[in-house]
Parts: sequence; structure tokens; C-alpha cells
Amino acid sequence: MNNIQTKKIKPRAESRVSATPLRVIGKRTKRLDADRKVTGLELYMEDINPPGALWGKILRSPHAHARIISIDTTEAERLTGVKAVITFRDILPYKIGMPTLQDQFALCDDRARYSGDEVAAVAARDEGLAEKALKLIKVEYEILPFYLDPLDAMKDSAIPLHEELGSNIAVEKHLEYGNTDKGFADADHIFEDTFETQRQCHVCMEVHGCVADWKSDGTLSVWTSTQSPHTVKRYLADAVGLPLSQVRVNRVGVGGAFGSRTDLSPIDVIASYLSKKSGKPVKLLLSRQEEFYASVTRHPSVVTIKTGVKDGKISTRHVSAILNGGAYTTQTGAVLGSLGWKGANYYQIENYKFDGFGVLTNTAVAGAYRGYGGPQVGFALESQIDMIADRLGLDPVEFRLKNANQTGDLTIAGSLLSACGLTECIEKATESLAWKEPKPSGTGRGLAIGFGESGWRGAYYNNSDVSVATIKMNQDASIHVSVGGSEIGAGYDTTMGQVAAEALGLPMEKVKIQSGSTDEAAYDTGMYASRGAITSAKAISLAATEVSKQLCQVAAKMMDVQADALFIEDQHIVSKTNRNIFLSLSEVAEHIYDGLGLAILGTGIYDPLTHLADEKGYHPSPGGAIAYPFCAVALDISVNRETGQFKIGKIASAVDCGRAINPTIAEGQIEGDVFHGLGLATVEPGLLYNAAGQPYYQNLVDYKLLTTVDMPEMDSILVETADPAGVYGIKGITQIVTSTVGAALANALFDAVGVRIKELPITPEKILAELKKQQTRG
Amino acid sequence: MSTRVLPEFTLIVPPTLDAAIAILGERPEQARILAGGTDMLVEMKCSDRGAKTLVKIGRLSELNFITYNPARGLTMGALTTIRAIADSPAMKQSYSLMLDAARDFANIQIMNMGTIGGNVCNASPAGDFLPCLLAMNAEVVLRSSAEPRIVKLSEFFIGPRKSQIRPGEIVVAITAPELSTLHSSAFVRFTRTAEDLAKVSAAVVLSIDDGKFSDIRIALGSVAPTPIRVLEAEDFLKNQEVTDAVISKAAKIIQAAIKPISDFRSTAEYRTDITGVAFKQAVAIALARRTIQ
Amino acid sequence: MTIETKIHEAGVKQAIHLTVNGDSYELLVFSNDTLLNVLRNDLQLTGTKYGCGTGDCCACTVQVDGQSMLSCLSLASDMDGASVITVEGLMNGRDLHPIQESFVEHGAVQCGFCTPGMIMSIKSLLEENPDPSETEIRHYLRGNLCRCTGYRKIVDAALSAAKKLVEARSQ
Repeated sequence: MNNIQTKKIKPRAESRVSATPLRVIGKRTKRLDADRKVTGLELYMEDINPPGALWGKILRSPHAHARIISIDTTEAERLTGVKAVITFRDILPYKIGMPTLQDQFALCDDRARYSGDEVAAVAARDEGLAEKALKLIKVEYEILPFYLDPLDAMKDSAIPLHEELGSNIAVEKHLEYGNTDKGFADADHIFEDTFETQRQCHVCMEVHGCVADWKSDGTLSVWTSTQSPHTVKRYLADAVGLPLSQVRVNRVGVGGAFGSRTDLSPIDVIASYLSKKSGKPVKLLLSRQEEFYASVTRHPSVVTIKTGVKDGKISTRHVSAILNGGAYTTQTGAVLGSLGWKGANYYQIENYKFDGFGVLTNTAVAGAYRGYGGPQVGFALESQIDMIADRLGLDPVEFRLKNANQTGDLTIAGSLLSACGLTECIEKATESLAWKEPKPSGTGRGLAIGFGESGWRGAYYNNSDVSVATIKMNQDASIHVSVGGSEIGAGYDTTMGQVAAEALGLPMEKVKIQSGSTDEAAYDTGMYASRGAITSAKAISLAATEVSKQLCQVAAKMMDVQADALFIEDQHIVSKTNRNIFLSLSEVAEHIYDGLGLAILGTGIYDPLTHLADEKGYHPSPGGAIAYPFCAVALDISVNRETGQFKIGKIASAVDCGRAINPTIAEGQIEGDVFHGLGLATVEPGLLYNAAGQPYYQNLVDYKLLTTVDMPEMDSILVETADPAGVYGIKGITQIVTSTVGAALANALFDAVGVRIKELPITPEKILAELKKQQTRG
Repeated sequence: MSTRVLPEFTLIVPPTLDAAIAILGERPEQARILAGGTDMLVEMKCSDRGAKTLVKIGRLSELNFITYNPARGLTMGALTTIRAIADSPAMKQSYSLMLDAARDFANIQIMNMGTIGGNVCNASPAGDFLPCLLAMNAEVVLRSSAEPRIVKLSEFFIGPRKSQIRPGEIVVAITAPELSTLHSSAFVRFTRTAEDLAKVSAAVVLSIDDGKFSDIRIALGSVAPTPIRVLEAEDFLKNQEVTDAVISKAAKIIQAAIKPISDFRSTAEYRTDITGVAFKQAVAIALARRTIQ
Repeated sequence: MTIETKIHEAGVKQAIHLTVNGDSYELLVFSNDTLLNVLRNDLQLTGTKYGCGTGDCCACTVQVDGQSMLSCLSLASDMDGASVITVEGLMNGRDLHPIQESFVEHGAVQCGFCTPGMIMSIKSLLEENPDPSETEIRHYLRGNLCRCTGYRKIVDAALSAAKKLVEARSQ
């Protein structure tokens, strides 16, 4: 930048007064996507209508487990208006799934592994016609024995769902920190309890699907509502045999995700091949019915916890878990690992062991779901804490506080807690419930804590947890920020806009976010593990630093001062030594473009491995997060002893969020978290199968979601600990309350009527049965 | 089946009830009556049982009315919406149990669309209005090209989603005898969430004379293949003193008389237990209402 | 009043007259077309959403002749002469409707998929009951499912919209 012309700036009469340290972060900024959404103008998959688009439909196996002898598509192909029929023969033999174990063809080869498995697909002029065509496809099946329960599927005599695996135990995870044998031998008391959680369906209000347009020039453009546009692009390119440069994932509204849209789905692949074969764009959206039995679900679990207590503290824990992974492995290994790892981090303990088994069964595929192993292990751990406290005559709140992690602690799993507001969370949540006040009889209060991850190294690609951001600044100092995550409803665009605005001293009106589209947006592995708030925010901050450097260098010459003597604040570049010397950002930006013939562009690439490598001991745990949010959930209930019905008065959730980028959005995340957690804990019935291995539920009459009337009062408390692991102290929080509600409810129920339920969901049926047993025991 | 699209059918919209009856008479086997559509269109989307011809009567104003007079009782046109029942002064005055059922029925949108005739014809063991109407001694008025028929609701249901309607017949009205000012009533249901089909439901109509049950009618939903009356319990209660012990004894009789099933909404055991509670709660509410009068 | 029986044969398109958001349309529809599909596919009014198709989520809520209805369970063919309001019909020029404004202000929007149906339900509620209590709002909205928010901020938005509308009327 030698050709910069110096322009001497005289000190001005006015002075730039320093504002509060943070001007945009922490504000209840209006969401960038709100106007589009309240006016009905946001475009979701079903609203995308490329000219000439056909409707795609999938023929699914009615059988839980069957060999496919033959598929005859002749009649379907003959139907007027049907433009393509595809089976396994039409696709590359590419298996999708997490890289650790890819075991699912987008269309079944010679085996259907659950009732709902994708057998063939058609594209036709309209949906009704596509349905008719499906009925004309003749499939000859040979029925095989099937397993709905992991314990049956694990037996040596069971036929493996995937022959190449040799067993239905698709993954095992074993961890040991310290010496649990010694720990139990030394313990004063040992407790062992088993807990179960049911399958939960994501029930995104928008069903899953994909609009694919495979053009004659060999490019493939898809609109698929996804949490991970770049990851979908990468695997889709592999699945259809195209170079990455020829596959484009477009930005599209995402009608709820909650983990279910983390991976490449068979639907993406099927829609793409239908488009290839028909030569037309294809729109393939599930019906609500298919959505229940043929999209991913939460893993049902059986978790056994053995806990050793010494000197009033938890010393040793052994967690064993069996997860029902459904018919394909997908995320099962990672969820299992996360479950086991989370269990080690809840409290300060000395020894920890985990034995986990991910088992395949002939049921719907289990995948990522908000909490990611947390609800299963959290329900068990935090129920058992109260059970132990009860047996030892300890106060459950004090017992937790005594064992709680603190800022600076290193957990047994090697997570260094750069900030931990757990104690404050417990205090705030219990205060909100007036914990110390006497309670009326028949009522109870329950507390549970939650632990989670923000950022997760190596979810997809070895150790990668990379986020990229680019910032282009225009002549008027407004900016385009390109980031690779997607707005799945959690407020990504808005909060990332706030981070960029904060970093460059701009108002939100000057920030434009480009996300969700692989061609226009920077690279990112995806929106999972509450990572956007930490990795994308960091990438933006790095890009902003570059932009800021470029501006300051030019401004320094313009102002005849040293660049490092300048800083950016509220749309101005100001001298650190004399606040009367400043230029507006737009003056500088305009000069860079028009005066110097240059442009302003900053790039930030953030990956925890590269950025934290020199911070010794920061993330010694295998995998491992970047930051660790904690929470405490307290609730009160009243129980009707005659009916087992209960009513929750209030749920207080205090969450250590590091710093809330946008309190309204953060509260919204907590409240949504409560909704998923409370649904799991109370009315969402799991996915049940009949004797033929076919699912019962196909609608929202049978599978219930809580309604406006059912939801209790919620107090969402943001505990700010300014976590140094995140930029501006931010860490992601969008899952931990879901993991925590179940145990808080179970504990409150016990407090109210002395009934301990160890299997979710907690229903009036179970409570009344226990109350009756209580009565007969006298 | 996709619930985005409906299978094909011919839609016939007659301008009058007589025209509708004539059309049904011409093709009694293929044509089905479509009222509010909230049950039938769902069934058509979700199964292969759809009819090839639908006769849409939803806009026939001659079937959309509620009349009540103390001497002749209640008549509801078959196309009376659930919303109209919820907003009806007649219900408020004399049939509180119908108001109980209407107020929390499904959701507002379905209340605006769904009709009482549809609810009766759907013959669901879990239909909220059916126990109410049974307890009200309601009757179903049917028209066809032959003579009109009046069928007692207690004889109308013959199985889950099966009723006495014959091909060619249209339910045109539901009637119920008047209830004296001594009568009061209530309907109670247990559900998983605020918008759900009932695990169990109980409707009672009662009158008290001199501290004794002078009239009592008890009907239950979701505990049998059809909504049922529990005559044993009614017989037991008649002329008994109104005491907690007597009501509890009646609850026991009710529990012994039913044989509910286990499904994903509840268990047989729980249904049995809370049917007694639902009955007791309904009686308590009805008694309280009587005191207020 | 028509006195003739109207017969709409399967697989044949017939004309209906529909007023949508104040605009008049002559549309050709099949007997089995739902109002939802006609709004979305024929009129490109895609704000109204398919959530379940069976009346259990209320994402497809619209107003038909002033009443809150489910467009997924309404036959377009039977709508001849009806007046329909969808979420696209709420704005006044470039200004958001007070309910929309309240949704923006209160953070009642997350993924946004249930939002149009929610807003339409609240519109009907406030027309029927201009000053509802929180309990009344929750009871009225019990069919409108949302998987993101836990409903709290939606209920807040409804309360605030009620206040705004009452104030606007008193001016």
C-alpha cells in the first residue's frame, strides 16, 4: 500500500466519546429473517417451483426386514405422465452415513431393513400421479426375521442387518479415566440404577424433502433444508459421482431441524437421480405420515449408572449404555461417544468408565437430535443424584453444589472449563422457584443440571471443526458477511450479523448476511453441536480483524498516525491518543475504492485445532468441544393422587451462555429446549411398532406434541460468564436444557409423592401404578 | 398415502336436502355424505376406503340450526358446527355437558368446520359428544327416499366407526328430550394434551329430589367399541342418597362394568381406574351446577 | 340462489370464483383439489403451509368468510364465491399488520414455518375477542403447533398485538 496518498486530518472540535464496551452484542436486535417469515414470503422447499418440476415419491418397504427378490417397474413406467422410475440399479453403489461407518444405500440393494426403507422412487407430473405409479411397482419380498429390541438384535443367534458388520452391534465405545475398580473399592457407598428413554421424533413443522435440478450441462442444483449445506454438498457429490464444483446446495428456509437435518439424507440422493433420469427438476417432499416412520429419530436408550460416593462426594462412576440405532448406523457411533463423554463431565469426579453399545434393529433410523446423547445420560445421571441424596439423607441442591464444577476446573475427561457458571445457574434456578419457601402438600420441586458442548471437533472430517467467514466492505462501509452455516430458526443470521456489526463498529442496518448456499457462502462443516455461536462467530471476528487492519492502515496514512494507534468504534476510526482525531469508516472505505483503486475484503478461517494448538492442555479429550455450557433446570409440580395427573407450575432454566449475543434469541432457544425436553419427558410416546414390525404412528393425533395450553410458565435465565473460549465470551447453548428437563421432572415427582419413575416418558399411567403399589405397601 | 392430495372423486353439491336425498337414492352404494370434512377427508387421504362420489351437504342452511324449547326439547340440525354448540345459549341454559365437550373439542379450526352430524356419523368410540348425547337420551333423525326413521342413539352405534345408517340415508338432525330445571349435567374427559382424543370420558345427567338421585344417566367414551351407557350404575343410584359413599360405590360398579383396551394413548388398567374418577368428577360438577341454579 | 345440483366430475376442471386477499379470481379446479393446494400452486400464495394434511397442526390456517379454517381439509370446488384471507393479505402497503409487527418485536419467530398459521389464528381470535387473557389466547391457539418456541413468545406477541389493535381502534 505504498501508493497511499496521505491526507492530513486536523483534530476536530467534537470528540468521539467512548461508548459501552459492547454496542450490538447483548442487544435484543430484530431478527433479520423475521419480516420474511411473518409475511409468508420466506421460501421453504415446498415453495420452490423450478419451471417444469415433477413430483417425486418414494416406494417404501412395508416389511420390517425382507430380502428383495425382484422389482418390476414396467407398469409404473408405462403410466402417462410418469417421467422416471428408479431403483438401486439406477444409482451408484455409494453408501451414505457418518464417515466412521457408512452403511446405507439411498435405495435398498437386495435388502429392506425397516418398515419404511427406500425401495424405489418415481417422478411424475403431479403428486397424485406419482402415488398411482408407486402402486404399479411390483416388488417381490422374502420375509426375514426382524428385531425391534436391541437386546434381541444383540443375540449371537440374530441375523446381522448388515452382513459385512457380522453383528448387529454396529459400534462400541469404551472410555476409562482414572481407575474405577479402585474407586469403587474405596467408596463408602455404591449405588446402581438403570434408566430408559424412549424414541423421540423430531416433528419439524416442515417435513423433510429435496428439490433437485440436474441440468443437461452436468450441474446439480438442490434446495434441501439442511443444517450443513457444505457437508450435504460434499457427500451428495460423492453419492452421485460429480465433482464438488458441479454440485450446488441453495439457500432455502429451514422449517425446524433439531439435528434431523444434519446429514445427507437418502431423499437428497433419490431426488437428484430422479432429476437426472427424467431430465427435469424434481420436487420430493415427504408426507407427515412418512415423516414419522421414515426420517431420523432420537435413539431409545437403556442407561445403567453405578456411582461410588466417598466422604459425601461422588468419586467414581461407571456408565453403561445401549442405544437403539435403528436400521442404519448414521450418527449412532457419535451419539454414543457423546453420551459417554458427557457423563464424565457433569461433576468433579476421580474415576470414570463408560461402556456403550450402538445396536442396529429393524426400526426407523436414529440420528442426531437436540441434546445428542445428553437427554439419555442426563436423565439417568441427574435422577440418580437425587436418589443418592435421598438414600444418604443429603439435600439434593447442596449435594450438587458440593460436587459442582467451577471455572478453571479440568474434568476427568480432560475438558478445561474456561468458564463455568454452574453454581450461579443452580442458585438462580432455585431462587426463581422460591426453593426455600415451604411448599403445599401434594406438590414437589425438582432440580437437575445439564452439561453440553459448544463446537465439536471431528464430527465429520477427522479433527475438522472449521468455520470460514469473508467480509466485503462497500464504499459506504456497509458489509456483506458470508458464512457457511444456515439459518435453521435458531437465529444464526441475526446473531452472526451482530458479531460482525460489533467487530466493525457498525449498526445492524449496514450488515448483510449471506449464509446457507454453498456457492455464495463460505465453507463450514455445519450447524450442529451448538457450534455456530462459537466457530462462525470466531471466523467472523478473524475476518473483521483483517478488514479492520486494512481500514486502519489506510486511515493511518490519511491521518498521518501509526496504524496501531487507531481503533474502530461506532462507524469511525479514532485515534487512541486523541479522540478528536477520527475519520468516518465510509470516508476511509470510499478512499480505498475510489482513491486507491483497491477493495476491502477480509477472510477468517477458524478451526480449534489450528487456533488452540499452542494452548497446552486445552482440549486433551478425544474429540472434544471448544466451550462447555452448563445449566440448571428447576420446576415445581402438583400431583393428583387419584389420577396420577400432574401439573407443572413453572420451569426455571438458568443457562451459562458465556454471553448472550441476543437475549431474545437466547431465551427462545431455552424455551424451545424446554419444549423438546418436556415433550420427551411427558407426552411424546416414542415410535411403537406392531407385531409385524410396522410403526403405529402416522399422524399428530397419535404422536402428541405439547400445546399452548399444556406448556407451563417458563423463566429463562441467562447466566453470563464471559467464556474466554469464545469471541466476546460467547458459547452456544441450544441443547442442554432438553437434556435436563426429564430428570428435573422425575425429581419433582419424587419430591411431591415419593414415586420414582426411571423410564421416560413420565405419564399419569406410570405414576398411578406406582402410587397404588405405594398404598399396598402401606 | 400422501396427505397433501385427495384421491379423485365426483363431487355433487345439492342445493337442498330433498335434492341430496334424491341423489343418494339414485346411487346409494357409491355416494357418501360429506359434511364438514374434518373426519371424512382425513380418512380419504389416509386410506383406500374413499368413496368415488361425495355428496357435499355442508352448506345446506336447512340443516344448520339449533332449536330448543322447554316443552319439546332440543333439536340440532346435522350441520350444526361444534363452534355453534359452544356458542349456543340453549346449551348454556340446559345442556352444560354439551358445552363442556364443545369448549375443548379438538381445535378452533375444527370446531368451525366440524359438525355434530358428522361427529355422530363418524361413530368413533372416542367421539366427545357421543357420551353426552347418550346421557341426554338423544335420537338420530334419518331421512332417505323412504320413510324418515328415528333411531335412539343408544341403538345407533354398532361398533367402532359403525352405525345403523343405511345406504341412501342422511342424518338430518339430532334431538334430545327436554331436561327439567331440576336436572344438571357435566362431561369430563382425560387426555394426554389439551388437543387429543379422550383416554376416557364420562357424561352424566342427573336430578336430585329430596337429597336422592331421582334421575341419573351415565355414559362413557373410549372404554368400549362404542360409547356406552352404564345402566347397572344408574339403577344402583336411583333413589339413593347423594353421599360420597354412594357415588364411590357407583364408581366401583362402573369400573366393574367396563372392559377398556390398552393402546398407545393409555392402558386398560389406567382407563379402568380413571373412568371411576371421571364419573365422580362429572357428578361433582353436575351437583355444583345444580346448587348454582 | 342456485337451485340446481352442481356436479363436479372426477378428473375434470371446473371454474370457481374466489376472492383472495381482496382480489377476485376465476379459477379452474379439480373436485379433489384442496384449498391449500389451490392457494399454493395456482395462486402462488405459498405463505400458507402444509404441515400435516390432517388438521392436527393448523399450519394451513386461513380465514374463509371471516372464520378460521383449515385449508388442507377444505375443498376448493366447494368454495365457489367464498372470500379467503391468507397471511399474504395482512400487510397494509409496506406496513406490517400489528400482529406481524408484534411477532417481530417479541421474537415469536424462529424457523417460521408455523408462523403464518399462528398469525392467522391470532387474527381470528382478536376479531372475536379483542382483549383476550393469556388463558384465552392459549386455549384458542391449542391446535396451532410450534416445534421451536415453546409458545411463550408467541403468546406474548398475541397479547401485545391485542393491545396495539385496541389502541389503534381507540384513536
